[in-house]
Amino acid sequence: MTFPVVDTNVLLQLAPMLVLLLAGLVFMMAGAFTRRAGAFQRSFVIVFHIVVLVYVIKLWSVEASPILNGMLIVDRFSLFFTALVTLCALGTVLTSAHYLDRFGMNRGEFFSMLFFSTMGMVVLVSALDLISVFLGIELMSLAIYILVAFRRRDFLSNEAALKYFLIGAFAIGFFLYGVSLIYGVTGSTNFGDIAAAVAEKGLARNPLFLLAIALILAGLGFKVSSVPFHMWTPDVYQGAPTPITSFMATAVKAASFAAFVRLFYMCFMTSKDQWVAIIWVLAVVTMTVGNVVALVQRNIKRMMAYSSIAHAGYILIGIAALSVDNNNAASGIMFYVVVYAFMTLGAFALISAIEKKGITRGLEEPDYSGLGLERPFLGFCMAAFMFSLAGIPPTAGFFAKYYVFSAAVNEGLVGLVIIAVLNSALSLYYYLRVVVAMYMQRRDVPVPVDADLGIRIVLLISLLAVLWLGFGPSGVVPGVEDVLEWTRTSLAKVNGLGM
Amino acid sequence: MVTIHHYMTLSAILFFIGVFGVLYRRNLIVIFMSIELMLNAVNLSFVTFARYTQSMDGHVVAFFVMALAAAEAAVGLAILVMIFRNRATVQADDLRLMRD
Repeated sequence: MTFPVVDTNVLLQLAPMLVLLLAGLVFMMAGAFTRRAGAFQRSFVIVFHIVVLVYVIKLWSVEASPILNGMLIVDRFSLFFTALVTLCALGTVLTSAHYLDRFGMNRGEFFSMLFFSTMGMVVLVSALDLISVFLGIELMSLAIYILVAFRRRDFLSNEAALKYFLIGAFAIGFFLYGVSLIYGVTGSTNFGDIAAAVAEKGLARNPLFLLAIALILAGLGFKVSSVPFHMWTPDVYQGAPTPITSFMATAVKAASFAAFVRLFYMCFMTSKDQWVAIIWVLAVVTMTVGNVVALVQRNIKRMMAYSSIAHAGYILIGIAALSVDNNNAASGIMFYVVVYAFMTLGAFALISAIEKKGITRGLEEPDYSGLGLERPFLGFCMAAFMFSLAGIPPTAGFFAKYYVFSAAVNEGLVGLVIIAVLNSALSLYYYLRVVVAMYMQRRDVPVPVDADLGIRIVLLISLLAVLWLGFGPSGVVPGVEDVLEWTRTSLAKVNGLGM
Repeated sequence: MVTIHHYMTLSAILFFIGVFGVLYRRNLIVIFMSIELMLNAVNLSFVTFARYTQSMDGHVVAFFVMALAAAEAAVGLAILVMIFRNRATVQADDLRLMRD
């Protein structure tokens, strides 16, 4: 009797997922046997993340081909995003050390869910089949529903978890209905086969196929919080524990956009003239609603939520500018997602250091007044993140916008870019309000800030990244050019597979 | 004779009953049931197409969807139980602490 032989090469390619799975199980057990996750457990969390990153580096030079019957592919595109979501998870872990203790939720399960969610994201970014996209989204989301609900006694946390859950499940229904229509029209759920069937049978203008694209767009739109599917975002961002808000804003958005780009790049480009108008409208509405509503927010987490909606709008411009001829738009999106991840991780690290129990929860403007004068380093970091989010030139946020917008101009989407630039100008108002509060307002009692070592590390690394990706030359530390080069080499294969 | 169109129409009708249930009912448990109805409509559509195209993929997907729906039900009901313990309500209108 012969046993099916497991291909070690396939196992190696699955290693990042397997390590995350193992880590999730280990900490699930740790949570069952310990009351509190101490420094020992947390150091292991960090070790697991580093192992994943080591595997990513190891796999970077491995020739990619579809594995598991074409369900997944571990190419540079997916490794790029695997590294990014792992870094986001690591940042979340570092941010959360004191926060978890302060709000009484320092348990092994927290890290277990974080690992499972990261694993879902890795599946999502490596997906080469609509079924693995579905499984990835679900694994990612189910773990995050639990993380959002982690402050069990807190009403806001409960409410946020419920809203996120119901709307997430609703969205996945639309996504699946779209998948089933695609399966009906093309006879397959595999990206490559879908593209081949569309070309062969001339389905690019088939109404059922276009309806399927619209349904899938709605499903993914919920995940990246684009208007009109954004209603959950402010409530969930506000109610979730702050490190988890940071994880949702960075990793979930990055992973969802990765799947978005790969799916649209590989399967739907032949129908681009049909859907580009929809994306155009979505992008305009998303950034405008995000920026306008952010103007009147008092709670900083809600403000960051609307800012995250606005940034989803800017990234959608990149989707509208996707082209089969060049990788400008796609590599612009990848750069944007990286930059957005760093500045948002940094901003949320500081927000969680200041958050406390009480009526305003340390989340409103007065809680930040005088911070820049009392704690120069923290104030400077926050100011840099706010300038970067607004897209002021010497920071990375400016270049992220620049690359996406210039790709759009090359595709002839000038009107869209003009609206986006006006929106960026508008967004200055609410980002600068935080800076004004920090440097120009005084208060009698100093702001209590619980910035432990982990938060300081996250702040420092994010600050360096935001400044370096803004004007750093290539060299020992990778600069803008290097990151763009990585995004381009990561995309070469995706393009080749699809077209 | 029952054709693919009948199955697809039924699936679409079930799906939209689910969508309207989510949008217009205020009891969280009913909203939750409506979502399950949407997923089952999707399953019907997958199985129909699988029979129609004579391939097994659609059948397999239906099982994946069922398994995930069960996992989702576990998490969702846990969240509902938690809310009921803290607030003693399962009405969507009572959960409005966060507003602009």
